[in-house]
Amino acid sequence: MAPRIITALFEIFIVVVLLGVFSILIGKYFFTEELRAAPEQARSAITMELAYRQAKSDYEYFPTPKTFKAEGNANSIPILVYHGLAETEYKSDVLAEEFKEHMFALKKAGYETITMDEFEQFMRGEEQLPAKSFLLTFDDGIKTSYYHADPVLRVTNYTAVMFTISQQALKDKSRYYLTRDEVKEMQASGRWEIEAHAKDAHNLIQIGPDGEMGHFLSNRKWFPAEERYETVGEFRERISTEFRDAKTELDEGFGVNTENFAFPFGDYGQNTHNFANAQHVVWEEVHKVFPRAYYQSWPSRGFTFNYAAPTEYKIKRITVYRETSGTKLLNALARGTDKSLPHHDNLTHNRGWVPVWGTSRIHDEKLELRPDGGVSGALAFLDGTALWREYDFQAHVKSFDSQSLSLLGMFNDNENYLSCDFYDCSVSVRQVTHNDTITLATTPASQSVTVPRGDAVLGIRISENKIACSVGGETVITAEQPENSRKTGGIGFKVTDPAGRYGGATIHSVTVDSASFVEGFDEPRVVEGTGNPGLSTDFDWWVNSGGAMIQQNGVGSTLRGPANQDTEWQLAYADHEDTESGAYPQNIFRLITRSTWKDATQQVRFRILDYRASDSPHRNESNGVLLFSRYADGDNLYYAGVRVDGAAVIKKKSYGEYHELAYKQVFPGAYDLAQNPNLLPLNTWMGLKTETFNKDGSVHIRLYLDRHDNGNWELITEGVDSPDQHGPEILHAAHAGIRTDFMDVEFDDYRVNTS
Amino acid sequence: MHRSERFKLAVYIILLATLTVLVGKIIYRPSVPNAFLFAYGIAVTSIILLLFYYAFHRYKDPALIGSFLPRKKKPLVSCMVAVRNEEHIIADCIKSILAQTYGRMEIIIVNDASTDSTKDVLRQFTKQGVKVINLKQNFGKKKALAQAMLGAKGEIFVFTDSDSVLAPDAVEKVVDAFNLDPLIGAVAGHCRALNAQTNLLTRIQDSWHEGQFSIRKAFESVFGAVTCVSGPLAGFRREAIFNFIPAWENDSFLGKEFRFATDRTLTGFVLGARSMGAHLKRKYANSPFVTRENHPLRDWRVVYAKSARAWTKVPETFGAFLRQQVRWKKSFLRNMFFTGKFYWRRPFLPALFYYLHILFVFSGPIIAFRYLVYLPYKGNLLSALLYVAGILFVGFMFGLAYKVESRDHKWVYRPLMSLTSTLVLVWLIFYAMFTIRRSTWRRG
Repeated sequence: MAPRIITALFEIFIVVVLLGVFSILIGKYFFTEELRAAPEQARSAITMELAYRQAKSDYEYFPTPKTFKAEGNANSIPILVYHGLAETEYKSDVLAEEFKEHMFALKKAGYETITMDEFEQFMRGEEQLPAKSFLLTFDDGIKTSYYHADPVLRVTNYTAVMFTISQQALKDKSRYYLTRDEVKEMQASGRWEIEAHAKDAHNLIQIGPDGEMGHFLSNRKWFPAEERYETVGEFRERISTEFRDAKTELDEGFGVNTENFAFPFGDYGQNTHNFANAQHVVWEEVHKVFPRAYYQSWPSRGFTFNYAAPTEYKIKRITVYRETSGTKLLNALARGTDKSLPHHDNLTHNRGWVPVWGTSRIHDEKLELRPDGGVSGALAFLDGTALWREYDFQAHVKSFDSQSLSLLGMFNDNENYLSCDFYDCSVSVRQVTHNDTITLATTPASQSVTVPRGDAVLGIRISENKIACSVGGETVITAEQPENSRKTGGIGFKVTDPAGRYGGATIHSVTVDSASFVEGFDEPRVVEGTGNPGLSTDFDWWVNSGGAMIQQNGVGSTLRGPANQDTEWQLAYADHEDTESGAYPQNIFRLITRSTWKDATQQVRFRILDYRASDSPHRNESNGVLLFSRYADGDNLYYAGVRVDGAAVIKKKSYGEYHELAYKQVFPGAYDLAQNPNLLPLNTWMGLKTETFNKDGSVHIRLYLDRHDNGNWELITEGVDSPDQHGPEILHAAHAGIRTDFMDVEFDDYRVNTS
Repeated sequence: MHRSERFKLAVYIILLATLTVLVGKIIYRPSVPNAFLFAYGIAVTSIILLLFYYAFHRYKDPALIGSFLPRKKKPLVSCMVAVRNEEHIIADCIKSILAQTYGRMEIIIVNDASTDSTKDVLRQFTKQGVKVINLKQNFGKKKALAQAMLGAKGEIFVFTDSDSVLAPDAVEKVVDAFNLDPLIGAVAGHCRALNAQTNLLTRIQDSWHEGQFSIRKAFESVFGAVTCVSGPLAGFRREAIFNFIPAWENDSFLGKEFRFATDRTLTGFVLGARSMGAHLKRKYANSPFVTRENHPLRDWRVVYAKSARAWTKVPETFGAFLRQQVRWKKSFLRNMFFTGKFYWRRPFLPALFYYLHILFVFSGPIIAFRYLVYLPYKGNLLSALLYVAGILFVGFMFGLAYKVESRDHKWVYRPLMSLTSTLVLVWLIFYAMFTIRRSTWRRG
């Protein structure tokens, strides 16, 4: 019996082996691709899983770094770029362990990655991204990037973009670069996106008769046989083919639609050896294929982050170098993050001063600028100030021994800024553009100006149409802003000195205040409503709702009376339930400033011309004339003002929910929605004022009323938004503005002052 | 399950699985395309598929069909054995001949100058009518048998090997097969291992023999073109071979007497009678085999009778096994230049297979080297696994075919033979090539 059972078992075993063999053959022939990749996949899957678990436990014990608080939405996006990730010290790439530290530090500090699509939406101004958003990118498609980064991405829930060299990524085998299967695996993980880096352009070409080799995209090729350089036309054709191929090969190989190109070596022509005009041609050609192209900008000649601009095709990236600690990376990002006004810098540490040329360093609680070898000056700007609009920049200068010291305003990059240039006995206002430097004004020889060489307070004040330079708080010269000057821009310092002397300057502290914003509504014009602030045609205002803001007869106002049938406004609002089929777009009127303020006083004079008892479901006792402050977006803001039911209120809107901070009955009467819908006086000028400021982590708002328009401000009520109630406090700088409901209203003398 | 249903099921499994692999090979696109390897792989599998198809669906045992030519008188059969130093087994062999159910038979044993007690063993059988010829000098198997044939009176010659044993009805089945068609010039019997139970090696060989006969010979038999009527049970019509015996016994290759391949070469004379018979008769015009009788040259059919069974002793040690394989390889090489000259006149399919087989024998080692050594050395370990899987697959298919024929469990050993063949035996062709001139006849 037993031998028969053994024999039977043996036969069963053989049948199982047979089935196994058969399945292997089926696998070989019918699942060739899968089987071919299987061993490598299994190996890497196990390695990656182990790395993931290790990273996960590392993350738990990773200390939370000290960092600034994330507030509101991001105005600008930093893009980090890595290449390979090294396992040992012997390679120059960032170490895998360092990368892990970077990501963990960023994650614990509240940073989140965004996708390529989100970045694109941001650039177009179609999407708001939270503060501390960043785009993580890798160049070249190196194996180590994926194998070391992916487990970290998995732990941190981050995504990354791989700029791949199509020529390499489409191979089936490679020791150094990621192969086709690996790239597909990355795509499938949902953590990686594929964009273009090159087809051939990562290889060097011969660029001179003596066998000199150089970058593919930035040099004219040398034809040894014909003993000549390629013509500009041939150059253009060559790089244009390269861009098209880089895109097509990736698109077809991986089923993607690449719209982003990262320049190999970060060289967009600036490192050319034999073709001065390379940059111009390269940008022109790359832009024909890719809507956006990426280059490395650190150290940079301009701001390190990217600001929303639908047509901007030059995208800046920050190279992360070896031996950068997590803290160092966080500090670097903090320095580039947008700063709000007022800004005070006592220079105890570097809050974003970036040298463009010469030497500048923060040392011993001072900022020192000094020309160095061969350069006759030094220039440094403050990063994260790109969106500053109107401000008063004052510097406490400890000493300067250079020929001149300049305070820069409206700084966009080293070829676009305004400056007040201080010399011993004169001050000039200048505009620097790409093409030249224009002197806008100089103190006349007759006017004696003494600029102290030490312990001086120098200033530059930028307002909508003026530039003013001051010494010791006294304005010494002003100039009109030229038509072509930028509307936003940051601050900086420049010293110039004849070569060889190396005279420089030492700065003690810097203070920048918002210039007060005064709007008299004097210039007759119409500010049309637009979908987002970036599209507003007005420098100061954004009409978010209500059709338009009209400036005429020295006052501003909502639209008045019914809009005529078939006019633009009527048609635009025809489907809006609050506007009586478009007849009254002004029923829901929201006028927002384009500047932002943190602690500020805001006031306006107003007169209600008409109240409309609309049958809209939104007409109720909460309607009124109200001032916004800390308007982060339509769902996150504070407002304070007077209402149709005669009450004065201070409210907060947080994620679309309203919370009352203060309430006081001001105007007498019995409100009734149908019979007595408005207790506010008509055709009477009144003044409304708010003071908004942070105190001990809470937001305080005070509401004043000038009932008789005679300057007699009466404190009506005060609201406090304390922590841990009604959602997060809006502590950061944000917009201000005016809200009216179901009324025709006139305004005058609107102003905001930094307090 | 009824036996015939099980048979059908197994056959369908074999055919379907092989077809699946064939389809796979056709659609398969390797990473490094190679037209030769592509065609090679497809050819190998196609051949196996067709072998199975013909063996299962087209082959009919000629001994079981029933004669179209009822004969009044049974033909006389001369049963001949050449023996040298086989004192232990020759008695079993002769006893099995004496036990034949077929009546009209003479038995001739040629003792090729044995140095052991074979002669004494043989003497015991003379009383039972066995004719014994004792040669004074060692001439080799061919010349020994030629001696027997010179005196044989039978219309049909049946040969067996001195280390083989016949089934009682073996000769009867062979004669039945001849009776089917007067143009049948030779009949191959079905041969298995006599000592299958001895050890693993003999079990493996036994499982392999089954397929070599019931599949490969069955295929060739469908076309009447069996290339080798194997020694343990080989029937020849006197007319088909008698005139060529001098050519056979004097076979030489590369200027030396070639003593192997007795069965293969003799089969060759039957298959090639029309194309070379006249020439050979002229060449040996003075030989008694030619002067005594003159037979017409015909397009003989050579068939295989599955029901005519014999068992032969297979090597029990690996060394002996290898020596036998080398001998067979040498026979193969020799016959390549013999049968190969005229086999193309045979039906297209067996002819194609015959010549492809020659190609496979030489390219097999190279391809095995590529998949088992070269590619793994280059880092593709998977190739060896896949290649071995393919080899095992073929082994399993033959194993299943074994199971179709036999109820016992020895089918499980068949894949091991495929493995042995790929890992060891294919390489022997080179050894055989270089040592082909060292060709003294030796058995066991």
